Amino acid sequence: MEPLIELSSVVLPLIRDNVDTDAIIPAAYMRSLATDPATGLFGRWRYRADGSDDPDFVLNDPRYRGTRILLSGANFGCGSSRENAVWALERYGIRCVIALGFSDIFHENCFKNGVLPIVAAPRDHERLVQLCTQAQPAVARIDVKGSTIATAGGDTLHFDLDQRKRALLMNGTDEIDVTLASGARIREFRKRHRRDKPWLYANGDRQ
Amino acid sequence: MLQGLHSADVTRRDAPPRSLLAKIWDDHMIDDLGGGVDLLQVDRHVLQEVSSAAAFQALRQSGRSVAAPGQTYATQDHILSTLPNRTETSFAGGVEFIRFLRRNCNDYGITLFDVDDPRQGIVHVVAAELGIALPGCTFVCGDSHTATLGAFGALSWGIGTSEVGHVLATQTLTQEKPRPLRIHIDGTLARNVTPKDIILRVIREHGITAGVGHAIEYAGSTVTAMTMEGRMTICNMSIEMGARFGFIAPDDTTFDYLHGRPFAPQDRAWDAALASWRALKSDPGAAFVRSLSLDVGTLKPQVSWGTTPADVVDIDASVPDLESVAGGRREAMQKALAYMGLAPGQRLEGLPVDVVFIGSCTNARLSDLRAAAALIGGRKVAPRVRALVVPGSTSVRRAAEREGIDRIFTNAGFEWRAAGCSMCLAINDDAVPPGARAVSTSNRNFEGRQGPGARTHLASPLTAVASALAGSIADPSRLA
Ligand code: SF4
Repeated sequence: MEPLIELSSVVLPLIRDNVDTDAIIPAAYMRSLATDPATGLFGRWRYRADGSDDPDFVLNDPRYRGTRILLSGANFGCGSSRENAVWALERYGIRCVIALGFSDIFHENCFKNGVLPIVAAPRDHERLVQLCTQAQPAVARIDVKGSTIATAGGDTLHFDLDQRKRALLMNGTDEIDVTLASGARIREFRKRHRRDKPWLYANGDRQ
Repeated sequence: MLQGLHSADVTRRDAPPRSLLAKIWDDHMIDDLGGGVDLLQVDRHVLQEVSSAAAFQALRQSGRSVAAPGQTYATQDHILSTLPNRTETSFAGGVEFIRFLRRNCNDYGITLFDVDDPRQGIVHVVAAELGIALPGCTFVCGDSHTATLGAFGALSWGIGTSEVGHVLATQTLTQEKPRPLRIHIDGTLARNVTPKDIILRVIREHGITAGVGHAIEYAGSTVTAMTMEGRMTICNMSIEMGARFGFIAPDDTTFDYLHGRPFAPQDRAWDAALASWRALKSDPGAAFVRSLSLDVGTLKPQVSWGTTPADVVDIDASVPDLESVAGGRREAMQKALAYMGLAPGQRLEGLPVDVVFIGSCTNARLSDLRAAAALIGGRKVAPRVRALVVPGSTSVRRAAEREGIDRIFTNAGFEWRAAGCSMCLAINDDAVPPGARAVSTSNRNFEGRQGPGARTHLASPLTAVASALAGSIADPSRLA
């Protein structure tokens, strides 16, 4: 996982609530492991029926080309647990999503892929929406270490980020390695748990 | 840290009362990682062909192995064709996933319910009927509706693919502790009103984010009186309120259901398990961050009109007026109505439908199909309507066939399909055509969920059957 320390780009405004993971990547783009998930990002909104780009969808607006920061509404990433939704964003180049809130599973999936989900306080969110929906696109700089969003307009907004999650992002840590390093502790736990509740281990007709 | 914990079934006199959530959590907690995140032991992990694929790819690349294949199971359900005589190639687009899961299960020694295995079916349906999900266990699967198995008093939740990889490699998961929320459901259901209507009503009332960060414990006299299959329908849709976890304390209904199931403990192991399971309930006085309640005595069949599972009304009601929703919500509502081809204030009953789908892990167990078939009474599916029944598992399908339920459906003009997720997520070729209107017993009515442009109305199996026969959205109690 590529470490995420800071990020600066034009902010893509997709200001709506409840953008679900079926919308972020429709199932039709998940039928092969070889498909680049980025091509499916917002697949139903981004393309016209003939497969060409829909110029009315904000992602296709040339002013937002190269965006790395997405701004949306409440409850972003609700619905299906498909991690393809985060892969689609990340492969497209988006490493940060700012929203009023996230679904639990999407939020978790972000950290596994080096994407920072920022829960913006309502007042900050309002301010960002106002800034980022002007005729002139707004640029923002995200500082993961300092937990700040700095806008070109001179605002500096703070967001909460738990220490452990911050470290995961900044170091690009593979969590599986971390867990495997506690192997002795896990084995000890399982030994005791197995003694207490053997039926969870030796089930019915297993080999 | 470890030594300080007491096990779930030992209640110390001086210990503060604990919720069922806390009991199961504490019993699986290996380590406190800080920031409210714990490392948990996973007792049961069930894989499906689509969300496991990239996890196995990464596992192979890293040269790691599967930590506990004996606690891991797999089934083919999401992308597999549901044609009655399907093979793995019937939906060509799914073959890659199906074969890869098979190879992975072979290589790592994981029990697989393969395409032609009599135990195959939708992951949450088979995990129940085979006795894989057990009270007090931690259970995960790469599918957001995994809380279905919370009906057994398990801590059961849906995970992403990276988490699937973490569980494969370590049989543990790092997980943020959810806050306990309790929903009391009381009252006796009227005829033709089902657990599906209850959960739709709950979501309608509390909205799609009420459960974010929470684990929901469902309780109350209605839940106590409910069968395991009804309880699964309730827990299944917890995620539609935003809750990853939803569960019900186990009781004799649970134990009777589990007894003798193939993967449930047998003989002496059963007796030991049962003794431990009986302690799995929230202590009196246990703290919940919120307690909600619902009286279902006057509940009517529920049907959705919009594009979130909270956009729901009584079947005899109309789409809300724009004035009745808050300013900020109005634009979203207009969008939803435009997508659904509906107007504010429009009545739903009588609205012509094109497709009726009876299936999914919400409502495709034997009791759902029995009740749906019993309502048909020799009538026929309306002309123009494509109606399909997709049993939740191959064993549900076979059991229904033994009872002649398949013929009741096919004589009426329903398609009788093979088991799988099918039109619930439309990742294979089972899709609602663009612009078509569907009554569906599944769990999501998002834009495009059942196919590009599909217009989904969520409802119970009874409302679905009534609508198929009438050719329009219909109240099962008013079947002509
Ligand atoms: S039926 Fe639908 S919700 Fe259930 S497991 Fe399959 S895709 Fe998920």
